[in-house]
Amino acid sequence: MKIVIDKGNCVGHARCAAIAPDLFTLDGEGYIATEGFDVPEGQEALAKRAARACPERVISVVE
Amino acid sequence: MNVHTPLTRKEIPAHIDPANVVDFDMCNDYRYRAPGGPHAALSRLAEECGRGMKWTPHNGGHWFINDHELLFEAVRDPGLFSSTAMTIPPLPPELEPRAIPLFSDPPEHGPYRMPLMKAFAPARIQAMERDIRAFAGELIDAVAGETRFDFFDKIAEPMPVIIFMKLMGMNLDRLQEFRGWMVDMVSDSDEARLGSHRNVAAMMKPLIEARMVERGNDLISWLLDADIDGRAITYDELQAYCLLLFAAGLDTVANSMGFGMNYLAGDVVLQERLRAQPELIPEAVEEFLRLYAVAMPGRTVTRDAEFGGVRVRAGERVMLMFPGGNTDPKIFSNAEAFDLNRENKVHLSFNSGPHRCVGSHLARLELRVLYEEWFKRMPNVRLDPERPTQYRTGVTLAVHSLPLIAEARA
Repeated sequence: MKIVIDKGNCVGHARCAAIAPDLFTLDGEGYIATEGFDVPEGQEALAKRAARACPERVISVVE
Repeated sequence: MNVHTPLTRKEIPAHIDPANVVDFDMCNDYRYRAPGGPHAALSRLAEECGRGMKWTPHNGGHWFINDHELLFEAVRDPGLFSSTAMTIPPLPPELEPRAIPLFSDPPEHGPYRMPLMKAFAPARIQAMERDIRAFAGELIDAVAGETRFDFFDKIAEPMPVIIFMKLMGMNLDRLQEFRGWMVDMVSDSDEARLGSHRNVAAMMKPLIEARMVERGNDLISWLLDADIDGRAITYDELQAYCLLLFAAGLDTVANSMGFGMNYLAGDVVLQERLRAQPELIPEAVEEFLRLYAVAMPGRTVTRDAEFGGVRVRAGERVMLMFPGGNTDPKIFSNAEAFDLNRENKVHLSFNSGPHRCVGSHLARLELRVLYEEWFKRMPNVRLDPERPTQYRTGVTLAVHSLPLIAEARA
């Protein structure tokens, strides 16, 4: 499973990082620091929950 | 004064379908301040008039959006819905408060916002937790022995003001005076609102001048060292940032605390649950934020267009009715109910899009720490049947007083 992030449209709510801080890293201003990653095994549910928490809807889950 | 004047047909512009006209007066209609609170009244309004783009002739005549998807769309379209004039009822252009970066649109909005993004980034805010916890503890300790007290007066209102004054590097000896201006800031009197802007600017002047000579460890100093697209921030811009922080960061947090505690005081089971399981407090905070959005900011339409199935004309004001979006049944099941286990709490209370509340991380921290310290120190509380909660309404939904009765400890 992969996470794909439309980084340019992140406005820094940081809700993803509030739910899964180890997966969704932020930069110094509080914006998402990554455009995506492979979800480590066993953390799929957590990653999905963090993706759904994004108020901007910029985080996609690719199965 | 404050008399609700019902709608008259002749005030409706020709391009507006009478089917979308609603008798809605947020500033003067007593129903929005009645027992039960403004959020329940806005939900009744949505039941009566539906959700979408609606127009009211009151307060200068304005649209309001109470549909979640339309709000999501509107806040991402600053080209159509400008923030450069957002007062409802509208003030003359020269009196619109020019708070930075609230009253600006892209592309100039982004560079103006960046210094605050750094100052209010999650990591920087997290470093304030210990101080915030100490202030919350002190305020709660001061009422811990009392049976009857006003939560709003004793805790919700002073707490964000103290944190703001500390953040700005201000001395707390003018706390009472400052609290008065905060009340004036959301007054329904233009004179009181503009007076509070002047008072804040006058109070900030010597502080900014002192920090220009010698920096401290405070927000004004950080902003003085920040830049807007490579150039230094001017004195006038610094004043405009201070106005934003004052207007957006005090009353909002205070009212969010007030509405949250107003709900909690009516639900002893929830109080006991959060006391026993404080790890649930962040979830409770999100659900309170969803149910009790406090800001309903305005926008101005920039051009004649179609939006949300209606025709809008350049110059018209639009109220972003976030409480309506947050209880939209198309998005949230059993939307009116407080549900700690609700997974989807993706609310609009901090707005979204380019104007996402820059202080949201600080607000969430203040709310979480307040409840954590509260449940460590306080027995169950309930509402005082002889002195019901009082509300104020306008573009900000506010608690005016919240008398509580503390139960004897078991």
